Amino acid sequence: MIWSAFKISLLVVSLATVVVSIAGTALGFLLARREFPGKELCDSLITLPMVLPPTVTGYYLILLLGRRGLVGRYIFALTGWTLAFTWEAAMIAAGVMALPLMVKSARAALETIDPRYELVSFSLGKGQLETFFRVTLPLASRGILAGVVLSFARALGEFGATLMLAGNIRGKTQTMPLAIYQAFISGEDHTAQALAVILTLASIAVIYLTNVLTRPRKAQ
Amino acid sequence: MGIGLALCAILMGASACRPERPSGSASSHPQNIVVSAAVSLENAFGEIARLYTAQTGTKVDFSFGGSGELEKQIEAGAPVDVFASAGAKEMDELQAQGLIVVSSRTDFAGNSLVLVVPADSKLGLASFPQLAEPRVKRIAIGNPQTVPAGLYARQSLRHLHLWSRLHPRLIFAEDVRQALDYVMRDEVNAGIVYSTDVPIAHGKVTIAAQAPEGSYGPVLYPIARVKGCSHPEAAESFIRLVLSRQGKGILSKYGFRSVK
Amino acid sequence: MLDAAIKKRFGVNGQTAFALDVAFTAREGVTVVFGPSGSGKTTTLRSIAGMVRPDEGRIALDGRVYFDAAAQVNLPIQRRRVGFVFQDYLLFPHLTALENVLYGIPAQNEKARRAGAREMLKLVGVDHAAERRPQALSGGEQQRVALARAVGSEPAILLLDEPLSAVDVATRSRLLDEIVELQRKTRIPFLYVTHSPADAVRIGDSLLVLSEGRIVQQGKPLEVFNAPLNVPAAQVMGAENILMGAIAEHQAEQGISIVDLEKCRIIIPRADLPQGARVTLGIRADDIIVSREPITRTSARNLLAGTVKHLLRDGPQVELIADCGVDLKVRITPQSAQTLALAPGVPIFLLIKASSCHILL
Repeated sequence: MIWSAFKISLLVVSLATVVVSIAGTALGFLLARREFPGKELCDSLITLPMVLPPTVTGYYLILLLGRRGLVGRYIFALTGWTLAFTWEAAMIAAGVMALPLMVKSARAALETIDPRYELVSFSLGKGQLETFFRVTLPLASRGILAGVVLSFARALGEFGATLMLAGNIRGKTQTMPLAIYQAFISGEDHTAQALAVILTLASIAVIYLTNVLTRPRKAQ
Repeated sequence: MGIGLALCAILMGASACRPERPSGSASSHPQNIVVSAAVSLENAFGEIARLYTAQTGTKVDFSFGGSGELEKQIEAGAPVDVFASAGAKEMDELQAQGLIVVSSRTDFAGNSLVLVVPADSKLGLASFPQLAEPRVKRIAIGNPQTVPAGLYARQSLRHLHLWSRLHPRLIFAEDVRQALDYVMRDEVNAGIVYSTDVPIAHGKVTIAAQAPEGSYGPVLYPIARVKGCSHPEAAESFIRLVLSRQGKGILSKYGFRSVK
Repeated sequence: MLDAAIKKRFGVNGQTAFALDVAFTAREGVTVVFGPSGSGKTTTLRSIAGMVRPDEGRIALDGRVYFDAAAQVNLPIQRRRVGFVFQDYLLFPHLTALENVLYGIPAQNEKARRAGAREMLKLVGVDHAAERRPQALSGGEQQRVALARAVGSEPAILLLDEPLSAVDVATRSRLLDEIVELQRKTRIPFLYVTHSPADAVRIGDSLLVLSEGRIVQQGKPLEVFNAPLNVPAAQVMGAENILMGAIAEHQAEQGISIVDLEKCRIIIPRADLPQGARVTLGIRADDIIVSREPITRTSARNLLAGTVKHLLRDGPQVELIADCGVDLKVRITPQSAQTLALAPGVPIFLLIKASSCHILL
């Protein structure tokens, strides 16, 4: 059970973190640098999973992506595929819960960068994309990296929404937090302890990394 | 690294201790008692509780869930007064640890297992052996390790020589109501639940077949008072109500079988 | 050659708070855009760069149209060949000085680009600091790197927005000369925004004076400064005459030095500068006395003969522009103007104390 849960957590959390890092940075950039109607409403919607109880988010995800859901029914009609009981569902649940953290970190990091640096880059003949990767991103890298680490941690610990959307299926969707729960109610105390230790060590590593990354840069 | 080792030590130590049970501050008319019951009893016990409160003035706080989960909570020291599970295993385990008052343990209801499908299912399932057909992709049952309904389902499927063939297609739910929910939401092609669960689905599921008598169980629900609980007298009177004619009538109304 | 006509309104809730309306041509050399804060200098610069979009007008550089409201042309910044130097340098903090300059060097093979970047740093005199990050450079060094970076991208025009405001006084003088030298070497037209009269006079080949969003005068810096044509220009130029000359001789025992302004000579207090050194003098218009007769037995060391060019009435005072070989503006009361019957063409004498002559640079 431990090894299977570890592998699933690794797969689910890594992929969720990658997707969330990219999407979160892009959204953070839009919110930091662009004006558009309904911008703050957008920000509120993205932040929602961070504030809602995870089971409520899970409930909404089911309404959207379940076999009978608003989107899920079309996916099923087109492909015959349902999301429930798949690792993809666990990944989506983890990603949705982690996204607000990434967006907030990215937005904050980008907002501290003087937008005139981008104007300088344009005046030197560089386009938007090149400017983003060569100037904006490197300057905001610490804050964004801290966001990635936080997202990873959040995805790793995801339980409620995962249980609702993906189910607690050993070998398919049973991540480490779900496995601890299962081990506990089955009376497998040693398994529960081992998993708890793994997750605790991972969390300590996360805290340490975050502190290192957000420490103010020493003057050279 | 040192922190990690220290944490391991704390966790190991914690699991070895049993927390102190609060000594019974037994007042005759307490405000609340805590009843942990298998989730399939939710509706019947809800009604019995209302009757109980009307008669005694004591309110009932319920904790419904999978029997295995509830058992673990009691073992960890949760302040439960009455425990009712959907099978003997959980009660036996608590009894073996001396956590229940043996004299209060009684079987009070029975149930039967059914195969259900989504109401709009086009698969035309009418028997258990049909589950082996390849077009049946997913079947929901409770987790056999921790949910009595799952245990009974496994017994029945083994009896019908279907277990090993169906095992890869089984989806384990946290309790029998979750299994029902999966069928209601069309996430699975079929599920094995109690007959008493079907009305709860409000028509979203239909019974495809009855599990053959004798292929599982028998399904017997035991109830008992938790040893050292805060309100022993109130607990006893609740149990008496469940076992009374009134209680039996309510249970039978919800489809539970009576116990000889 | 830059041809610019820019109109832009800034407002809150439909009310116009500020309106910019300028049209000018900038040719070779350094064109100074001069005016007080809020007069529209920076907006003009940013419009040419493409950072601000005018409401109406047309901007073309060497025949290439960057903006044309009527034809709906608006090239993005990166398509304009415009270099920009900011007041606070804005060097990329995560790159070294060399990498900063390298960033803008146009595409060629990598070796050629690096060589080009090194050349630029050498041109501005900071190649010894090539591997250092901006945080490790002094203000003056950072500004030089910023110049190198902007020039290195081979722009058709260089826009400088008060580049020396953040630099300490001692470095300013040197940097001013270096900027002029850089312009001469690269032959790129510079458009230089400043509110400092001394800088404007020192560096400018031609001057555009902005006041409240409009150009009130243009021409050669010294002419414009000491001979404003209208009241708004006079207000912007301020009360100081600015004169450029060289130390002709010292008379230490007498406590004076003599400055040669080509067309005339001015006596100033003993200056601690070598003979022949270039010097920029300031003489406040309020410090000059006008007389219809030559009065010699006074403590004022300077007595200049000249004629009245024109008078500008600005509320309770009159600004008289006199031609004494150099143009000088004098502030007097309307009463004096009337009593002395001052009018264009009238011969006058100007008395200036040595101590009223300040060395600006």
